[in-house]
Amino acid sequence: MHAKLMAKRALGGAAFWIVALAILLFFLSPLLWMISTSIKSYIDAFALPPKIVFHPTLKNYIKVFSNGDFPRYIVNSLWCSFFATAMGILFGVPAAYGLSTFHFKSRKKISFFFLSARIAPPLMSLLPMYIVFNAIHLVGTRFPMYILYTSMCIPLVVWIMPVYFRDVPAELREAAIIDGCTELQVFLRVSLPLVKASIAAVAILCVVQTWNEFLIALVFTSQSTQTLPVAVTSFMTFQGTEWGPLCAAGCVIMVPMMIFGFFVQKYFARGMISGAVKG
Amino acid sequence: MPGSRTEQRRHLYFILPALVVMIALMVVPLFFSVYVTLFNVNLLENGGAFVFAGLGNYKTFLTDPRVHNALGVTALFLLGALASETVLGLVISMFLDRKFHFKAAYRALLIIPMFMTPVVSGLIWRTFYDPTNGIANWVLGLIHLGPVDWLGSVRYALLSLILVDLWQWTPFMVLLIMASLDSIPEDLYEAALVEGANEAQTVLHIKLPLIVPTVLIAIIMRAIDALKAFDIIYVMTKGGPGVVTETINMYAYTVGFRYFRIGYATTISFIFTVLVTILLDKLFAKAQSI
Repeated sequence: MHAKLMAKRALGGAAFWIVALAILLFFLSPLLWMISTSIKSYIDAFALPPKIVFHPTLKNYIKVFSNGDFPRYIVNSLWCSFFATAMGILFGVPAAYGLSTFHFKSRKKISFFFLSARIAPPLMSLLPMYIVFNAIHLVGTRFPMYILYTSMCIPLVVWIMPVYFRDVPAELREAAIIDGCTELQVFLRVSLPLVKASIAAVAILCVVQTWNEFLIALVFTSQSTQTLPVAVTSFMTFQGTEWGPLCAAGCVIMVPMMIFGFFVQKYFARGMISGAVKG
Repeated sequence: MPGSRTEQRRHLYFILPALVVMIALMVVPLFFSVYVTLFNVNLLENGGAFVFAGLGNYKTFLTDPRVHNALGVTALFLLGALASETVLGLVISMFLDRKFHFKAAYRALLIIPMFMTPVVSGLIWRTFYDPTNGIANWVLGLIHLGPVDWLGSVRYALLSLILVDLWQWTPFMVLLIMASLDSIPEDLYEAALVEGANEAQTVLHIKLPLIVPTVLIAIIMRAIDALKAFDIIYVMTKGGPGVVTETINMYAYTVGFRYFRIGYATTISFIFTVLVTILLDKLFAKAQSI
């Protein structure tokens, strides 16, 4: 009887894992395919069924980096992401602190304003901005991206951070004020150190979001200021897509973001839910 | 001190800088774009001069068959993506809602698609959908179906795009629903089991009702993003074949940056933004009241 029950359990466990791994395979197949194709030769890349055993080659990566412009696109992407993230943190964190710490009449309205900035389709501000930047001859530089990416990052920070500031016990603040700290000192010395980790997490989210952004970059960049997502579309040619180099470039673009994503996932779920509920 | 003037103003020092920046970057352009909708602005003709058109752009919007098509495509894409992602998200998270080894690692791997660059994902799926060399048709061939012209046929193009959206964003649903399931106190189940409830009953009467608010919020958040969908559509079909996958966003982009009719493109995205905001505002109020 006992042995039968154990066998049944083991069978149930096996069935669970078969389904669970099948689900995982579906969601990871594009990634696995991209990584393996990036180190396959031209012929192996097209083989069906997909070759699991093959001679790995770095040819595709060499081809991507021997395109003299590719390192420049990396630099462009880095600049745009880091500038906007820095601005998002600089403006967004104090605002999130203000919205979560003080009670005042227009609090809900202001929160909703920041939220609505996330709702509006990017084309809405992109078109008028295009007219302006076109008039002052800044289309084709990185400047419009700095501006528009900043407007993406601030609402993200203001949306996610308040829940972490609310975790800071009010007594700590009050004690510091009784000790004679100013509001700014309380913010900088009491609250900020306690939310350091979540600031890092939300900064990573800003980097991921701007790094992956495509539409704004497509509209505003020229040949020399392209960011990586725009540059990677150039692997679609008239003769068809160059699979190997495309996948190599894709790996260079994506792998850092996925490592980042791995580290921030736990902040992600909580911040999003509470940001949306209490916002 | 509470209630005094200084207390009431302290928050301003923290909030004001961000507020000013966001007003400058969102509200000012919004007012400017309302102004732009009243003009014909074509960057390819007479140097992009503003030619007053009154409500001409709005009239064009109402009678433009491509607008009507795009609204329909957008609605289909939205409903298809949201419905499939919600159902699949619920099924997968209920399935995973048990203790098993490596659960945290499993979850971390499962949500990887969310962090993948959409353009690159789109390009990879394009190779999957390749009619002759793609994996999608090979998989269909294994079960003696197909081949299907995924992106090139009127019948399947939009479905193929929805499948990619489903692949990228179902993990988001699963992540939020699993977090919500984890927060249900253990003793609720125990109480139910003591009362003699079976597995199906706990799912139906305990789990589902408790996760409804999270699911609604997840749906709204997905709706916001799905309405903005552009990257995947751009690299996979550019709205084609014909206008079969041309969403409002895609059409506004085409009008603005292919035909350079900025005035009309602004009108399209302005009306669309107003529609979306009203819709989401209603949904949001409803979700918060539950």
